[in-house]
This record gives sequence, C-alpha cells and structure tokens, in this order.
Amino acid sequence: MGYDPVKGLDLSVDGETTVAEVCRKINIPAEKIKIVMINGKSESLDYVLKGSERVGLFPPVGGG
Amino acid sequence: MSEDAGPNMRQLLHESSKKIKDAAARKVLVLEDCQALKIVKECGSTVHDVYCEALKAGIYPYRYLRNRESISIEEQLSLAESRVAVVGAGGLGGHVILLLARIGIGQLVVVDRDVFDETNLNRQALCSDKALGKPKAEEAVLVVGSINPGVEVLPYKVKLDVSNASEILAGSDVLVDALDNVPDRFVLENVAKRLGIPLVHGAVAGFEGRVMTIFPDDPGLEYLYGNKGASGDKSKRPESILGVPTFTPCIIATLQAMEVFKTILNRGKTFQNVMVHVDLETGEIKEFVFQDHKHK
Repeated sequence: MGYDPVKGLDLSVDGETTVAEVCRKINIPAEKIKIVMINGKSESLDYVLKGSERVGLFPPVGGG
Repeated sequence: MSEDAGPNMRQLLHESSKKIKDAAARKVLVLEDCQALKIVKECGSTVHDVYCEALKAGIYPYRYLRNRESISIEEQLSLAESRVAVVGAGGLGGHVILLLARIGIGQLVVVDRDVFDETNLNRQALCSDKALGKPKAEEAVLVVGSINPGVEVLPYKVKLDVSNASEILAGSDVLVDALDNVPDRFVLENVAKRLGIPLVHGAVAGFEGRVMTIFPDDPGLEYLYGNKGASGDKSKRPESILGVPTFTPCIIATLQAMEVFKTILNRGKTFQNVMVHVDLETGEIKEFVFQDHKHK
C-alpha cells in the first residue's frame, strides 16, 4: 500500500490495541520497524494505544 | 596545535593587518589572505598557524569577517584549534567537509576508501567530472585547499575498522558519522565510545534524513537501529529502495556541521538522545525523544 506523508494515515482502532497490532493491520512486518514514536516519544511495539495518538514508525535508515 | 608565535610573526601580523569597518559600521582589525601568505613565507609557518596567531592577537582573518556577527573571536580561535574527523566523504561527508572548512575548523581528518564514480555526481559535493576515478579522501585535500588554506586535511584512503580506527581518530574533538551503511556506523560508534569522543550521526534515504549527536555514555545507535543493527541484505535497505536524491544529504550534512559547531563551542542545544527527523517532501523537521526506560 502506498503511504502519503503529507496526508498521513488515519486509523480507527478498537480499545486496547497495541502498536504491533496496528502494524499487522497496515501490513508492515514488525521486524522492519526499528523505532516506534508515540506523540514524539519513544515507545515499544507493545505500547497500548488509546485512540488519539500520532504514531511514527521508522525503518533502519542508513544511507549517506 | 600551533606553537607560540615568536615576536617576529606577531609584529608582522600587526604590520600587515588593517582596520576596516564591517557591514554594521563597527571597526575591526583584519588580515587578508595575500598578507597572511607573505607571513607564511617569511616565517616558514603554515596558513593555519598564521590564522591562529592572528586570532590570538585580536585580528580577524578577513575571510571570517561575516562569521563575526555570530561567532566571537575566541570561538573562531577555538574552531581553528579543533580537529574533526569526518568518516565517509560521499553524500553527507562531502558537504560536511566543505561546511567545516568554511567555518574554519583547523584540522579535518577525512576517511574514505572509495573513489568517485558517475553516480556520485547527483549529490556528492566533492565530486566533479575531473574527480571521477580519484580517491574521495584525496579530493577533499584539493577542494578544501582551494576554499580555505587555513584548514589542514589529513586524508586516509582506508576502510575504518577495529585495527586502524583508534590510530586515525584519536586526538579528534568530534567525529562525524557520514557513512553509508549501518554495520560500519556501529564500528565507528564503538571506537568513539572507547576514545570518549562525541559522534555526530546522520543518515538519509529518499527525501528523509535524521541526525543524532551521541556522547560517549549515550545508548546512541542502539536507539536508532536496535540491538541487532540493520538487515545485511543490501537490496532491502530503505536507502536502496528510495535512493539518495540531491537535496537530502545537503540538509542533513548542514545539521551535522552545526552539531559539530555546537559541541566544540558548547553552544545551543545538541541533539542528544533525540532524533531530529527531516522530511523534505512535507517540509517537516521534527524532534523525537528517546526515553531510556522504554528502550529495549
């Protein structure tokens, strides 16, 4: 699926949904994610979302 | 580090400098390069030494005049007496090297085992048509020499590894991670920590990039890449999939150079335990904070 960084991606989640479950929902394999940021602060894939967070998922960027 | 100038150099500096008014109509003593080069000849010293002695005597090398509004003469001298090692002289490193040369870092150690090829022309600041096939580290000597003869470049055409890293990097005030792959970045970070030298990390893929300044006791790259680092499969790396277009290394390199500047002069706020992420397509520069207790 394509991701538009301008629009972002709005997802509705059921109560008690972890970041890992969101990743499954949008077909991103967890092993490709090195950094999880919730509202600008680092958390783990097990973080339980309440529903109004901004979630940032980052791969291992290494180019120069 | 320059030796103390003898009375001869100091006298020549005062005779050769001139008083001018800067853009804000303030009086300032300056030394133009043509005069600096005469002193070099007369005293058998280097341009680097002449600049340092001029700054100590309250005389601005004329080339730094427009730095003056933002950088004090004591700070300009600190920069001139500093040594920075830039590891990788490609997309990030090329720009970092040129910026640090223009700001007036006294010594630059440049480490890159590679030679320039045509695919480097889209983004690598030291790459030009005539440099194709030439070693990147040695090209840095020529280009920096043509921009600021007061900067000494120490080139190493080698791949940094555990056997050579300490010898090459020891004595540097700051290290710059301008490498293009994750495993080599971990090698560099290990050495930086062992030597107790701050490391300014930068990485890019597509129109996005990030910067973090890693002090010796910080988790550093582990925050960014996890314990295991990145996939060894080159074709799966984000930068392989998204490429490295022209603008991204330039802006990340600028942020890295500023981190070097802040670290040396202890100014402003460095990007410690945070990732400053730049997305050129959306125009967003955001700071992401790593919380140690959450990190596993």
